[in-house]
Amino acid sequence: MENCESFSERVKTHAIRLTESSPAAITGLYDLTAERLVRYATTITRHQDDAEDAVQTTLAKIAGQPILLQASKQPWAYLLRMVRNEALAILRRRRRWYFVQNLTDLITWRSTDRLEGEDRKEAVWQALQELPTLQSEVVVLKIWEEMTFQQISQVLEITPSTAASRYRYAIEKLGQKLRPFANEEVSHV
Amino acid sequence: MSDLPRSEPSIEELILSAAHHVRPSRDLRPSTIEAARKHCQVRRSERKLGGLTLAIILLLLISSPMARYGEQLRARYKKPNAVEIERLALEYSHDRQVGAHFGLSEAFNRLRQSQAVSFGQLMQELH
Repeated sequence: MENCESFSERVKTHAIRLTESSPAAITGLYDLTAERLVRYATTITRHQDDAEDAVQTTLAKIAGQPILLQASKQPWAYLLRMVRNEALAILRRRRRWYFVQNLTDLITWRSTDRLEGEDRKEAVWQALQELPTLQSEVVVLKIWEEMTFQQISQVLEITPSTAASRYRYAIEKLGQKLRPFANEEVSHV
Repeated sequence: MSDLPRSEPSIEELILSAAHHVRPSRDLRPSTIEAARKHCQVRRSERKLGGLTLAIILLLLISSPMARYGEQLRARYKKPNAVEIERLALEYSHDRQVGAHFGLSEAFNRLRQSQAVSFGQLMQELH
């Protein structure tokens, strides 16, 4: 997985292209970030539809004002923060603070044949969704986005030590839930 | 993942393995592009409307003192009509106990004098 700084640079390059050309250039930014933004937003909203709404609104806003992203020192962190704010706004609007008990609304990369390790991935998502959002989003940013606690603190507007302690608590809880799977051999996608 | 001791590497690896498990729906891409296009159109319209509003406000700000100044000038240089001159002539002839013709002549003289004074003031203001 690409590290946060170089990915941030690529996001910035797309923001510059967006400023220089038409709104249609949003496709480049979409292709680069959509999957990562959706999975992050899903950990907040716990519903993929809501997460996609948040991503769509954010990218539309960026298309209208690409200078916001271009002027940012940490474009990727800025984009994540925008998505987070949108996701939280959607949650506030819809008052859907309930926890999903299954993952039927998630659209996954699953093929027609059930791949080996699919259960394990679903278990990870299930376990993440059962965590409090404040903890699960730190895990997502730390492990999937490969951010440091300093960078996470900028996205979530908390101190690095708070981010670290949330991460520790989250890993502890995830460890309890996922220990049976963790002992198996992990296959990276 | 460098700033925390990795007490649970297998858990972290397990979570990492599920990173690409969820993907955006097929229609998210076209709907996002469409939303971006609409958002840009709305922003352009808002910018135009904002510019127009600003122009109207500026026009009002500039034109209202000018209109007020114009009103003042109009009031200052307003020419009396025949009825007013006749009234002034009658007043004068009544006050001074003189004939109506002399009153009328005096009313005209005073009108001419006041116009000359106003003209002088206007020229001073312009210079």
